[in-house]
Amino acid sequence: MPPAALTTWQCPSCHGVYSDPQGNGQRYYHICPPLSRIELLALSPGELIALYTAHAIPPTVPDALERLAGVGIARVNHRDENIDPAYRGETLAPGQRPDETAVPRIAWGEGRTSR
Amino acid sequence: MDPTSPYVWPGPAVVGFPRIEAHWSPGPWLFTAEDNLQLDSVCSQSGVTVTVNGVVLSADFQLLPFSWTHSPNSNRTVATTRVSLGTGWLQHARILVTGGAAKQGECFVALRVCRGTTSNAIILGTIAAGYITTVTDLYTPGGTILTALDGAGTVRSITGTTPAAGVDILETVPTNARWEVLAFTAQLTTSAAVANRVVGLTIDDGTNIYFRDSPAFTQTASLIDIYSWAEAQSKMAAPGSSFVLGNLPGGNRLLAAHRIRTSTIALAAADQWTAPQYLVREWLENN
Repeated sequence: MPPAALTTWQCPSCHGVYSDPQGNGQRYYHICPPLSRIELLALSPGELIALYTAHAIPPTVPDALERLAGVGIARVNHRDENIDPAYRGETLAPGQRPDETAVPRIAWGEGRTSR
Repeated sequence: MDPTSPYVWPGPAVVGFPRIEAHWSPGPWLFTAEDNLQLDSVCSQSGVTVTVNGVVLSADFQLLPFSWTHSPNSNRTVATTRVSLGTGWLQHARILVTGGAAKQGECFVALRVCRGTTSNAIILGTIAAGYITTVTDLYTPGGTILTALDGAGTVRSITGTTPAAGVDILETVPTNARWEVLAFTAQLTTSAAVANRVVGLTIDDGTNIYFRDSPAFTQTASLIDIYSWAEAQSKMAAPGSSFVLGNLPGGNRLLAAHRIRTSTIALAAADQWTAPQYLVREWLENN
């Protein structure tokens, strides 16, 4: 089987670049990385203090920013392309008829081989 | 038992069968008009078609071959096909990949007997279960029933997301997958901004970090270094011109939503991680 054509995408939230499907034909599920140290620095002082407080990091310690970056603060409009783990396939509403095409009746083989 | 016996069997009739034939049971899997064959699949490869072949011994003692196809999903979610077998005893069945190119560990199937034909069907038993390819079939009788976590899994080389400048790499284990991370490599190009970057690799459960490694190497401004982590690798900073080695925990197992990410101290705004490439052994989680 020839390798699948690579389609490259750029995430509008984090601007990361990735290929889906991969060269071997398998799907790739992008997830945005947390805010980097640089992105945290770009927040307003109030937002930054709130994050320090929420994660119990004293803002005065020398590596406070690195610690906060290590916690993994999700960015606004964070994207996670993974399938919802709660997905359980088709669920019929009461009274809804199932898709009959998904349940084919068997096509019996020609010729009966013995009796 | 003599089928001509005048003995009258007690109990209710089996739907679709003369009562006496149902009691003979010339096979372990008796399908009445109410029972159906169900194939569940979990697959990570696209374009795969699965074919189920088999033979049923009918109520009037004729061997009736059957064949039907099933299309697995490519995103590791369960795909199900239910087929009516009519009435009879399933004698044997064989399940094989007949379309696409699923390698060992990429397509797990389970053949089951169920009552009902919709998603509300009740599963009554499992006839066969295991991984299949275009040459490795699953069969009954005689086959071993396996779970999706049995066996060698499959090995995948994955090209990750190249993050924006000044942002660390993050990769995640997809839903319904279990990974052993064998190797992970990426390249860091530092800008002219003066700083001592120290690269680390962390693995977490989606929230809490449970593994950290740092090659204990300082990368200064305007350099290009390639970082490479692997299981059972001796850690050594810059053994070659621009390679920095780190360790991964041996025999690690990452569940879905666990994350692998670089963690770079003093990463500058114009520093750029590129070419994340990693090798994993993957099992499908048939939840």
